[in-house]
Amino acid sequence: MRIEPAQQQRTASLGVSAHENGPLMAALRRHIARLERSHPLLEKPHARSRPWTLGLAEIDAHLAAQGLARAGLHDIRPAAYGDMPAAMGFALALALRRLADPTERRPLLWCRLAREEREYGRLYGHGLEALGLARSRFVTVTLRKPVHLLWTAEEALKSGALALVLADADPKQADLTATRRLALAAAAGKAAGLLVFARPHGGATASHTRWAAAAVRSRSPPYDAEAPGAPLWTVQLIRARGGRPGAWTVEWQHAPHRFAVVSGLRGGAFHPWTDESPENPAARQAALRAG
Amino acid sequence: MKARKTPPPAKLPFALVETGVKGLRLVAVNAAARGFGLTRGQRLADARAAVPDLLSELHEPEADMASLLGLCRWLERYSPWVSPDAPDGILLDVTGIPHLFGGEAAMLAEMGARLGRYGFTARVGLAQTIGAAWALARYSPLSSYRRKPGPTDGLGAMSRQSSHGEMGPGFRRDDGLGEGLEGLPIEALRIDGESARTLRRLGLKTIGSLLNIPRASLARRFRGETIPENVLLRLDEALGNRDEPLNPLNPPSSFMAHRALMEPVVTPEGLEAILDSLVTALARDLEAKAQGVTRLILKLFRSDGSRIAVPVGLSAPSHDPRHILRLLKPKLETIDAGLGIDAMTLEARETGAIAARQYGFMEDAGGEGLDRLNDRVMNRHETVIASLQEVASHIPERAEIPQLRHPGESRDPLNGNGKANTRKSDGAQGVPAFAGMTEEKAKLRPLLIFDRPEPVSVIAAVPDGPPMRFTWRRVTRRVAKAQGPERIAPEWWRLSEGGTPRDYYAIEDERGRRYWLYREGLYGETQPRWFVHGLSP
Repeated sequence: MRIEPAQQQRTASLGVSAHENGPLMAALRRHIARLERSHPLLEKPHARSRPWTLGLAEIDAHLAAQGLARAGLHDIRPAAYGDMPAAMGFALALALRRLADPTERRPLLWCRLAREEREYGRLYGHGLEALGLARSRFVTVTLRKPVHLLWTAEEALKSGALALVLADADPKQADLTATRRLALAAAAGKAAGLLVFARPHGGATASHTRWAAAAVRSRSPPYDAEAPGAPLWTVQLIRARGGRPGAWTVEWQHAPHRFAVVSGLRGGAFHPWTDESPENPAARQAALRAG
Repeated sequence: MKARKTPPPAKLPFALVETGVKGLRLVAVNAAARGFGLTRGQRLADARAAVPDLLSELHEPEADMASLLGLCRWLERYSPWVSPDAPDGILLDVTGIPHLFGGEAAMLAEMGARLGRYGFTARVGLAQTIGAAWALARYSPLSSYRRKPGPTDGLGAMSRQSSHGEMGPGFRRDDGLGEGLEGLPIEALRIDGESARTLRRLGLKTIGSLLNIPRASLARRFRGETIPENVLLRLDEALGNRDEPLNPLNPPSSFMAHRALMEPVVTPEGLEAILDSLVTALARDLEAKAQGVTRLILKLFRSDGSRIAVPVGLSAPSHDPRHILRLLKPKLETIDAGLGIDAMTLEARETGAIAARQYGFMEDAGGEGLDRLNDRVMNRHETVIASLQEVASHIPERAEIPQLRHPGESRDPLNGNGKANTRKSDGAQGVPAFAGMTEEKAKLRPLLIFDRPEPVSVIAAVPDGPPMRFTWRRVTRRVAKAQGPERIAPEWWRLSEGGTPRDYYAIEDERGRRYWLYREGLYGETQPRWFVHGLSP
């Protein structure tokens, strides 16, 4: 059975705002919690490890108590076709937030599909370093078929040798069943899985959170008004187990491994599914009028 | 020849012929032809004159050899030391093996019976030396695996095989060697025709008569240049006074496990159970010698005489039965058992010393886990988990290579392993060191790079400046921000490749998407071309 995203969101918000705290409700909650052992609300906080947060109060408030589920599955999709690099960059930024934990010594594995490598290029170590990922902390593997990739990602998550597994995902193959398997594998291996979907789609997955990312025109560095600055993305939290959806425009600062909400855009309502620049609504209106 | 041609009826005289300098000659004849008095080496014209309805086919030595090698591989079910003895024999070293098959006689009987079922007429001999076994298999009248002892001619596809076993001291020492060989003709010594004729002319017809002659005179009379001319050498080899090595078809592995089954097994569950016991036995042997396996071959013998080989590779030596089993089991699912598997062999082809490792409370077992994951991925999907190693080159596509080396392997755990440590120790805020690159330049490098840069058409404001707009994949993008150029000159020490300088620009279009473009060539010299080389988030 496939649940529409809108319906999912409604049920998620229902779960948060339901106030009938009868004994039946509590018993049901306990039962569901038992079924979903890797629920972020129930995860025992590790004695020393830091929670996996984005480091921004605005966004973290939308997530469940511990931030992102440390041993869970999260998926990221581009808001539009050309936003794949942005989605990958955002996935990497999330991964880096996780790797910043001093107790985490395991590396990151990035599973690529040969098809996606032809379409968007293969991973470039110097570029990964430029975004803040040290060469010594990641390994990569290229698979020919999406099914092979799902198998590899599952084995990698289960193995316990990796802190994070990033994987190119194909909406056709990575359905509810496949992602449920991945989520269970992630819980078994105490690793986080990040699926990067190649194109925007609304299919259901079993991931803890679902994000969409889009590229936004960056702020130029102060010394060169013509040059592109730090990467800037609009991220939308479409679905979060135990959390609330939301949308923000964030900048990734690679040196301190930190997100920053861009001051000019703070609180600015913005719909990320349109490909328009959020900076200048007046100009947008003008453009619309001009046709 | 077995696949393409049906063998002629056994009752009709049949011969294989080859083209010699004096016309066609018989190479091999069947029993019926032999009954008419035809022998190997006769001219076909003479044979036809004697037996007008003789059937003949052209001899194919390559097909014969292929068939012999196939039989060799099948015989590996008895011993790993198998060597083809062209043109018509197979040598097996069965030292320490007969008891697995219920004794020597039982093993030879089984061998003969199985070969007979596949349509081979085989003669088996067992002795302490290769020479003696060869002689017994071909000339012994006592061989019980042949109805009619006779000369050694036969069909090309037939194979006479000898097996040679070096038994323990005392075994057959008193009754075997001398006695078994004494009565055999001197041709059984593997000497050439000329020497044999000379010996016969001298009245020395059996090996026994040679034994009575002083060695010195034999050595003086038959000191041949080649080995078959040297009668004394052949005699010594047959009697075991001189060692003769056996050159096996496959390099023998020091670690192997074998199971012969009473009944053929078809079901995957049954095969898995046998595999389980094989792996356990092999792992125990390996562990006892502190060795780990890096390359394994699982051989499955089908009951129809064919064999399947399943190779498995490991990235680091291991003797963990669970790990080996996890690699082998998925492969077992893919094989076609046919009519059933009646023997299985697991051989360790390459091994390496393995040091017992203990992971303390500071180190975790992550490296080992990654090795094992890599083994499983490698054996299933033929791809490896690689880390990207930096290469000292300015050309972006050459600046790194994927390498099977796991991260943090050879790094000092105190200051290299992990960003968190770097941040703490040197205050570099997690920025990795770039060899020969300033941080500003390094920031320009794209996250994704194309193996083949994709051509774009560009409109630039000034010839040497950054593009204003460009068309890539049929979509025109307007440039909002650009940084560059970063000029990368070709590596002059690779002049043969004839590169031109490139000017790289980091581009952001009006939607915030980023590209890494370059212009190849300089204005004024040639018409420059533009390419997209990478994408950034």
